[in-house]
Amino acid sequence: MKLKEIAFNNLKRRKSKMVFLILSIMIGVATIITILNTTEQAQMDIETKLDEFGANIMIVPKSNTLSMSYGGISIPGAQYDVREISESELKNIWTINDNQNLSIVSAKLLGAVDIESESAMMIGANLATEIRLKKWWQFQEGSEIEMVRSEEPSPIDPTRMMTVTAIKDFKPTDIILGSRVAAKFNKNPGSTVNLKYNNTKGNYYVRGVLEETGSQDDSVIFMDLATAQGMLNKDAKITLVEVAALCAGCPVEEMARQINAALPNGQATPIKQVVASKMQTIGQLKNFGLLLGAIILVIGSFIVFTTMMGSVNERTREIGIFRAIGFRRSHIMKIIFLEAAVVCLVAGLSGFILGTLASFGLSGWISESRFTLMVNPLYAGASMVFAVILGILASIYPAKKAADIDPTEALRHI
Amino acid sequence: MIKFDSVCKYYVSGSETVKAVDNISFCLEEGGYLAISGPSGSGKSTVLSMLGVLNRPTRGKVFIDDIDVYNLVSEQRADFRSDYIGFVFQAFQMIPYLTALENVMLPLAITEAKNKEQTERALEMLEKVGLSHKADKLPNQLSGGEIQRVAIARALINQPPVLLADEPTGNLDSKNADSVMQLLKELNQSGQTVIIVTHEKNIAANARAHIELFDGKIVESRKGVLK
Repeated sequence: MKLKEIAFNNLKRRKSKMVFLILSIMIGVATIITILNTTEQAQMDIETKLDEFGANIMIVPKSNTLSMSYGGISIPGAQYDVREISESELKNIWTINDNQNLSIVSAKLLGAVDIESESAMMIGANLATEIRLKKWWQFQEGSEIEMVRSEEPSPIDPTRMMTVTAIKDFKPTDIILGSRVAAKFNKNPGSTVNLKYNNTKGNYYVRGVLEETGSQDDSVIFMDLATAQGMLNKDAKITLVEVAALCAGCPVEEMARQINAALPNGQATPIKQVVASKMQTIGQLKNFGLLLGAIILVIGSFIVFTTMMGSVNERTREIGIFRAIGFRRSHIMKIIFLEAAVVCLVAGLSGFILGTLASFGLSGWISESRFTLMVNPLYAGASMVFAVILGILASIYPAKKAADIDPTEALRHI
Repeated sequence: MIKFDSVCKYYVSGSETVKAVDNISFCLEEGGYLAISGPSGSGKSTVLSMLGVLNRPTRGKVFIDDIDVYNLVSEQRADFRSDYIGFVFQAFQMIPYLTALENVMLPLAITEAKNKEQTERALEMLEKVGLSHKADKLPNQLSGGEIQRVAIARALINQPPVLLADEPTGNLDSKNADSVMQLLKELNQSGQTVIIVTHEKNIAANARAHIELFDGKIVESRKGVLK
């Protein structure tokens, strides 16, 4: 028989109390694990949603702007040496160090075209990519927009396959109209539109009309990039590139810097507002989790403390016997610590399991997309270690009190 | 040899000082069998607890094997109790969640002895007190006499030079009491130093040495008690 067996046997004897103690710690640990898991997954969910919100890096052709101000009044800058981005340069974007965070790269050519003798903004782009970038786009009834996916060799590394999204049966003369421009010229899905740029003109088929977005997209005519380049006589040229980076707090500014290095003719600018709001949301969620965790830990410690104190008080006679037959003070403390450690170890493990399952079960309430069952070994280890440390810290005073029991006083009860 | 040298134990109760033990001196040779008797409150249990290195005297010295036991620090006194003293309590204090065998093994839990050795020694002790067949019983499954025998086995497992028994028959019927006293007598005859506290005159009479206390003082001593 060793001290640990004495501790185990005592725990077995006080089953209901130990179960209560385990439950109280377990619920605390489970709550923390639930919060951590839920926070973590909610962060990922929010980040995904924020990423879906659109581009967070904008690339425009590089130009030198002369900033002029006098007496505090700014005079619009004079642009000179305006360069253009060549379409062939775009693949350089995928060579940056943080390319694993790149989600969507949407190149665009902007221009003004005449539609029924009036000017309208036209954007040439890969429309399938544009639809992926602007997840909030909805199409009016009758639109023929069906997305298809296929596997194609990567343009960067032809040995690797990549998933390519396209609009089914999309033709170069197909266009998408913003809601306002469609309404203004009374066009519907299936209509034909005559577009003119200088001496180039042609009829285009309206594949789809956007529902109102509340943005400038409502006034834009979207067409295939190559068609637009041909129409505007800007072969393989682009006006701007919108980049969506999948960010788990990823370095958007650093990515913009890397893109600038990779694109000598481009000027990449991070859209800080999106990043800032994302980081703020993450920070708030983490702070909430930490605060709640701290409160629960304080309550858990108090429960361990009171239960162990009660246990020591109940066992005065028993401790008196131990001391009378030669147990040192340190032996008594070791027994108390062992009991607390075993209980908290079990509580930590069961709390981790419960918390993991609870976060999975609650995920449906928190997000539309159900989270995956996330078993984090780090959390498992931390739950047990933390619970044991908590148990031992909360048992220091009860253990000291037990060790300080005067055997003579204890034996007086005998 | 056990030596009590001018030992006093005073307790302060409010403004009053109670002299539980008042200037007691005696010696007991190794292998002796001493009974300490006296009425309730005479100080006999206090003397026993001081002999058991549990209760520091207010004044005077206690020597066991020429060691001034209260000159030892707390953890040394604990080790001394483990090595030198075996206790048998009046209310046959067993640890309720341990079996008879485990209760007997208890003093070995803080030694280097391996589990197998502990079990063998505990079974041997239970055999000695005639209870090896009840090794796996919990205390609440044993009679009072059996529990007291287990307590004696536990007190002896470390082979301590001194066995202290505080009213070992106090809660037993006469048959079980006789059996326990017979066991203590046999142990003493095999060389074990035994000191018992009792208020029963016949038990005191059967001991080889006897001191009687009253109001914390020795009022009578006889047979083998050295001053």
